[in-house]
Amino acid sequence: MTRWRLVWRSIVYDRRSLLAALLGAALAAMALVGSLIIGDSVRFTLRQQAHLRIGSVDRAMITGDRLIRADLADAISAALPQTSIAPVLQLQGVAATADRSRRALDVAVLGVDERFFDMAPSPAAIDLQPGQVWLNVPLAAQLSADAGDAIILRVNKPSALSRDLTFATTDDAVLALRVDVAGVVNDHQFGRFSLAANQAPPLNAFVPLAWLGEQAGQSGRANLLLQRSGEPQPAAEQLAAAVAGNWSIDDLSLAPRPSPTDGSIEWRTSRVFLDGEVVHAAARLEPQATGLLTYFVNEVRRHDRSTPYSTITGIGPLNEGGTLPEAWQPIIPADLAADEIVITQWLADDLAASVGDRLEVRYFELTAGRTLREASAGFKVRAIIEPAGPAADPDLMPDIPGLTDSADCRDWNPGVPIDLDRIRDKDEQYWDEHRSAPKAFISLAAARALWSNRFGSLTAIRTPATGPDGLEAAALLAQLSPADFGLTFDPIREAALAAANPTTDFGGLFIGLSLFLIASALLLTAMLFAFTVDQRRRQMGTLLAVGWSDWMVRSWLLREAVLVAATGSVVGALLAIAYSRALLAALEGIWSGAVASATLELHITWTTLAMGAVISFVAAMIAMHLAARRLLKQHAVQLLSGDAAERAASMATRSRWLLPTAAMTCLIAGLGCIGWGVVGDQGAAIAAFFTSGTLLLIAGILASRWILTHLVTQTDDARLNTRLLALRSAARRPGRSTAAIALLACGCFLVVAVGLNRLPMPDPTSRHSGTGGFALMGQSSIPLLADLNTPEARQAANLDAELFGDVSFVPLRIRAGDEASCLNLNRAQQPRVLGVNPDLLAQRDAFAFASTLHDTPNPSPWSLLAARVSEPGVIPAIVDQASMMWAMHRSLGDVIAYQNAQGETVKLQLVASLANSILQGNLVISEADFERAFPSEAGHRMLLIDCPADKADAVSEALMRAFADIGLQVTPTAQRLAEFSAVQNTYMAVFQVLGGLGVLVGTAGLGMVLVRNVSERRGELALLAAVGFVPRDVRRLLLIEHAALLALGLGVGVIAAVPAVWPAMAQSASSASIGITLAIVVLIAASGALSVVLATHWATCGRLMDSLRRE
Amino acid sequence: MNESQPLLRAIHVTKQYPGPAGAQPLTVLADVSLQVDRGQSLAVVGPSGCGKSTLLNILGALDAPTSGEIWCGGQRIDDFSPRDSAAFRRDRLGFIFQMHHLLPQCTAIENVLIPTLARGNAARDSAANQRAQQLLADVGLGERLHHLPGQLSGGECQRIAVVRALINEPDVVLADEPTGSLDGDTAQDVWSMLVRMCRQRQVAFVAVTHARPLAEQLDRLLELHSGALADRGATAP
Repeated sequence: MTRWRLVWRSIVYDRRSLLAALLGAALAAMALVGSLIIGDSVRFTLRQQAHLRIGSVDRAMITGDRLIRADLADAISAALPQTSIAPVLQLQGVAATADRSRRALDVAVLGVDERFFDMAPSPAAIDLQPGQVWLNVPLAAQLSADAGDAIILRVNKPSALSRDLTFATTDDAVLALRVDVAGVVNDHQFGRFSLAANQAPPLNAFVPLAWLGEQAGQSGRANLLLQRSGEPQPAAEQLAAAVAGNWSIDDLSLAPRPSPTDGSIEWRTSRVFLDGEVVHAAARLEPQATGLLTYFVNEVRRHDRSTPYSTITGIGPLNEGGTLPEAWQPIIPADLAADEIVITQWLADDLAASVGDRLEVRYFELTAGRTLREASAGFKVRAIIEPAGPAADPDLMPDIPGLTDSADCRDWNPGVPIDLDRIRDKDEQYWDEHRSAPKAFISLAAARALWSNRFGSLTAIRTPATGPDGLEAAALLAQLSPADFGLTFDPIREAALAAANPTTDFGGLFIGLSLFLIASALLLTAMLFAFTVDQRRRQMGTLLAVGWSDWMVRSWLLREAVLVAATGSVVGALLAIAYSRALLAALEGIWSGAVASATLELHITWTTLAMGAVISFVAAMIAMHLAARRLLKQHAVQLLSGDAAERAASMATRSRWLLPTAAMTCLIAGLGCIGWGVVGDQGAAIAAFFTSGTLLLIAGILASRWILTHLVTQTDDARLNTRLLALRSAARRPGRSTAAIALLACGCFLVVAVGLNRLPMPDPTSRHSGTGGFALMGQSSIPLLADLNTPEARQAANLDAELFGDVSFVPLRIRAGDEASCLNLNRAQQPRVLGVNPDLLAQRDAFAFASTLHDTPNPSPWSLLAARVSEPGVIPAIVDQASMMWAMHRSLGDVIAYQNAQGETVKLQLVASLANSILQGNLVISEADFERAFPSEAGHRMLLIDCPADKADAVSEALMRAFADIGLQVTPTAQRLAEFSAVQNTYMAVFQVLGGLGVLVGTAGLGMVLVRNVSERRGELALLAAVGFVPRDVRRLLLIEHAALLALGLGVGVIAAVPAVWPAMAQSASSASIGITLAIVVLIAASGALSVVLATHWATCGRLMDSLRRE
Repeated sequence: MNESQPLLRAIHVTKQYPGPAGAQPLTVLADVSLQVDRGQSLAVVGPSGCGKSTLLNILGALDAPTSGEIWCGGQRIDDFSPRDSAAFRRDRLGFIFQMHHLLPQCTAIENVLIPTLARGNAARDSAANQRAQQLLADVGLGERLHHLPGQLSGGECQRIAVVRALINEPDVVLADEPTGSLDGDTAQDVWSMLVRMCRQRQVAFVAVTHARPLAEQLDRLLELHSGALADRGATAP
């Protein structure tokens, strides 16, 4: 005989109850380990996806709208022999089948070569041929396209000239390509390539780099360089040095050319405006550099005479103290004042102007967005010159497609509106003779004051062409850093791996969602183990009497507990494999909303299984210890004496005041919270009502306990009847009965509170709802360059004037980034940024704000975007509260840094947060700030659309038809908001289902309590039979006793949940969610009733009288 | 231990239990004194609820007196720590209860060996095993060593309980109504066997019982009434 043998004998003897306890522990372990496996699977899936989307790419140079030489890749590779660089021309667009029957939006058209596919997760030889396209799997599926099919790709045509430059024509903004599908590239072949961290697979179309460049008029250009990771991995400094050693002015779209008119070298750019860094470098290097700023003005007027559509050049030395080139000195006086103008004889004749006359120049300002605002400036005529020599140089005007390349004035088609009726014959004649040669000159300072903009302040620089001091390209580049132009390699592998660390720890989340199930299972384990220990009371007393120490007795029970908990945990961990499979299947099916329809891969590690099993083991041990500790503290005499009823009686004395006082306090506090909720604002009301529900729940449980203990001490014999006898029996073990009531009450409370507290769908027409009162929102694949609030743009798009009469738009710019909403499982590294005119939203008082960092200077917090509330250089940003808290893990006041295409660091500070809005996942800044910070992001890609609800469908259809080429997708805002709410609501559904399972376990616990109660009292029941109770009466007694516990549990839980769900019910709880919740409550009641009936039947079957005889 | 010293002494022992709130405490034992010599057998009789079991629990260090002292040999035991109390019961006492309190999951011999487990590995000691077999054979259960309690009669179970009390070779056996749950003949058999075995081993024997005829078979008879103990002197041989 050994102590272990005794343990084993005891386990075998009490195998039924211990097996049930073991199953409870296994259930808890299964839920816990299953949750951890879900967490692992999400992490694994995201890591896998990160690997698939970046392959073996380590770093990337993303140049935005700056088109660099594809050859730069070869040069860097040559400088760093172990390094492979692949050039890519990535254009955003839409794809459609040739018959337009199927369409795909937000398609990335990637011009690549074989170097790109060498960086795939599984390098493959993809035969890229001109005119052919390889589609990735999702795009092929969306288009139902297969090899040999023809499709149309419409892409945002790349241009060195920003589409936001209002002079630029927008007619050629979209490039349409008809291509044949060559095949489908799978995920491992780099079909999933993307630099954005999102679990939604991208839609990619791969075409030959050279061919795409040719088609787009950008031969040999790229806007993305990918560097493959390899050994040895070059340091960032080595890569930077390789770039600096091999870049050229061509990468800056800078083209020096000799000026035929003044013998200088002119430095100009296809981007029209020179980069500031280039200007500064040229000024440093060449003291005699001359700056030129030529602008297209609407008219030059003198009194009632005007000359339409002319160019005016501002010219002056770039450096202080510098002089104009010799050829210019007779033309432009050195002391030309800021309000003086030199005009050509032609203009003087046209305006009948002479020296000293005042002229008015009217021009379009480059304001925020593409909105045109005509401004004017007054000048005094300083001199009149003959249009000859350098002054007659048409190349003073930068190359503007649609303007300078037009043969005739009537062919002009720039981005600004031109009234062709104003063009006279003499204007045509001037154009024929002088092309875009300026008709007037002003000082450089005056020109810069009027026409400097976010793109630059000079259209050309002229430097002496000869002599040892002549500016050379190499010298200029030596003064510049590639980083100043955004030509740096960013560590995208690092970012991808960081993003693969999900924003939400799904392991923790599912543990939270399963908490009630786990708690119920552990409670069941604890209860059953306590029953077993309770059964051994006399054995424990005997062992203590024969000389066992307390520790030895505890050790005996501890060993059993260890075996139960350990076996249960291991079994549970193994069951968790199947459980997590089921959960994953649900997450891909009915609960797909929780993971934004991501496809998750099951990933199981021994570490997780072991860790989960150990945690479950410890939890089960703690639960069993807590349940049995009261018995373990008893002395041998108490243990040997047996019955526990006396304890209840003694406790009743102690609880006489404490329980009712505590219950009453909770009740009063709960009712107080209801009052607070009624008078408080909406946010406070939800918290108040939920707190009130919780307090009422506690009050109910305490009151139940008090009633039970009160019943024990009820000694009014005159009132004794069968019902009271049953209730007294329920009160005999008040702790046990209260545990069953509490389990049922908490379960019902959670199921009802969570079930009916789904995010309500607010009134979408309300300005303060999450829709901002906008009926529709649109997003395009290619930027929309027109302002749809203007009649011209609507007319150009053939939008029905009547239909759109009361429709207005709030356009938003998009700086691509990671979706930082609950729809993205990845951790957003750089959330997407939206630029909006805050006045448009402030006027509408759109959206409700959750909180602001600063006091709002005027009634709308949107004004914070325009107010300089942040430190100098830091841009204020507004963000959705949920995105900020859960996706970004940030708080108000935090600063998020970005790097723009110019290589500058842009800092955004969170100054206010929106309450549950359709702008989730983005940072919103003012459009003016956006244009300064991200000048390369041209046009608007998002629209918030105000329109009457009854027109929404027609407006949506008309817009999508009109802007099909740019892939405009219009969605009802209510639907968008519902998509966001679906995530949270799905979590609640998961919680409700898992909580419901927990309650079912709780009802099983109630059944166990019943069986245990009855088996302890079989002698007593036999006595009732002996004194004349028929079996039906005995069963009735037991049913009343335990139905009372069931009713108390359900009643307390449901009643306490009413205030908790009141705000949701009052707003818009759907009949579906009410129905589901009621169904679950009914199911709980039914399963509880069934367990009571079954347990009663089981307990009273057999011969009760035998028990009496044994007594 | 000095042979001339009494084996077990209770000196002015009082035991009170707290009453309901506001009420006077309930006095179960009032200034009780007694002594038991080595090998002596002693019966305590009295009506139900008079405190017989409480006295026995106090003598066996299962309960502590409100006042007074308990001595075993030269050791005062009423102020023992729980650990020392357990060691005292293990080494010097044997307990028998009205119900046999055998572990239903263990066989007869295993139940007998349970107290030896309190001595660490003593249970593996073949000497303990042999002694258990011998004792069981002595009480007529040599053929029932591996039977479970559920397979034995009440008298047989109580005999096993007697053997369990003797397995650690105690100085004194305390018995609380040891035959109270048995029928008349069986009760007499068990009682006789118990007295005989204690006498053979010079083990002091203190029993509380309702059965005066059985009590009168012991060396001395004490009567407990309303918490007070009266010595009825030696019984007839």
